[in-house]
Amino acid sequence: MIPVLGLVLGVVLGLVVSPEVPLWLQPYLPIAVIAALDAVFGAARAALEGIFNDRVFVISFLSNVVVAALIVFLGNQLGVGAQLSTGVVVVLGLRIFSNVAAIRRHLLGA
Amino acid sequence: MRFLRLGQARRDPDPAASMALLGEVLDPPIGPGYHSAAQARVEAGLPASSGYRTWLLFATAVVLGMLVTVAAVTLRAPDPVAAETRQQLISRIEAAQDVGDATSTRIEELRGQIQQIEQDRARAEQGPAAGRAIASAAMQAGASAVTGPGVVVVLEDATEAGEGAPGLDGTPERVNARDVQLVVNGLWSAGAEAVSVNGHRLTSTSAIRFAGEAIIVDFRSLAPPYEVRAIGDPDRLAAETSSGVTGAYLGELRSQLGITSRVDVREDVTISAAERLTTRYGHVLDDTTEEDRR
Repeated sequence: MIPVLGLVLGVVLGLVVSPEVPLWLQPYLPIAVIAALDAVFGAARAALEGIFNDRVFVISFLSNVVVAALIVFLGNQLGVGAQLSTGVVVVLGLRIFSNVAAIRRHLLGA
Repeated sequence: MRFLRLGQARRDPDPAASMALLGEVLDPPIGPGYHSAAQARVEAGLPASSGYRTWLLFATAVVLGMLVTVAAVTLRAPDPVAAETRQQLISRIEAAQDVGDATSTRIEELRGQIQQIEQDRARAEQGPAAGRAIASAAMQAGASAVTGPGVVVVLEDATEAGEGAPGLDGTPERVNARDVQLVVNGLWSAGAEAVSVNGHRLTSTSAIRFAGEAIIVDFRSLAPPYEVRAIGDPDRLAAETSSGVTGAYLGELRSQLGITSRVDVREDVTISAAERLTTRYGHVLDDTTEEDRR
């Protein structure tokens, strides 16, 4: 319940405050969202397996976002930002899919 | 080297070990962190899961929600800078148009006053005939609004793409400048005394052109439907636009291209004064020289 409440509060805060994202930060937003999603699905899977740990979740969330942003930043500096972004999206997307598959196995048994 | 040997010692004897990367990609374990953390907790005598009622989790959830929302709001909106610039340009255009409209109403007012004063003076100095002469000259030149019986021809773009029509396939035919020109010329030839297109009075210096996708009358672009008003003998005008050359042309437009047209005969058609009457290069001959030449 608490995470859902927090999520709702965060969405409302985001809508109400709607902070202006500086232009240089905007290329990192989609990557950050996907990295966060990966952490969330990992956490959901861990929760279903009964071994959820808040500290691990927070650390994986933060490190995912930071590392993904770092890779994209590096790519931008080297002139291959688009390709590296694609790479990050592919890897994280695969992880999300397999985590969702595991969640599905837990929930639906299929 | 030490590390290398360490790795060798621990190497998985699985013959498919070289496929580990694929296995990792296709079916990754959950972050091993969860397993080891759970193990540590169990060893410490705590339940494996830390539960969900922690402030840390709450704060992370808030951050997560905000991140997703802000990303969605930011990335969904079209480039804010461009949008803002566009908005500014639009408001400037609108302001300029307002100013232009106000100016043209003012011009019309002033022109009316000038004409009135001219007529009054002429009447005072040279008698009522001179005043009437000015009034009729103004009417013929398009400097004053006129009202009288006449016809209203409305041309409208086709709503559906016709088959076999020229132009791009699948796009409805549109009214062309030539169509408007033909209608206007037909009306003049049928004795129209004043003609306007979408409220723009045609004078001796008016042009009907086609620029890009818009019909332009006197440097003003028009939007469909195109309404051609003409004052004149209603019977002759109606005959021209129904059975005359213009009528035949309109009928062809209707049957071949789907461009619809409507002709209304009215008792009372009002046509406003022209907006642009000044000449920049032509000068009136002086009275004396004119007399001399005669």
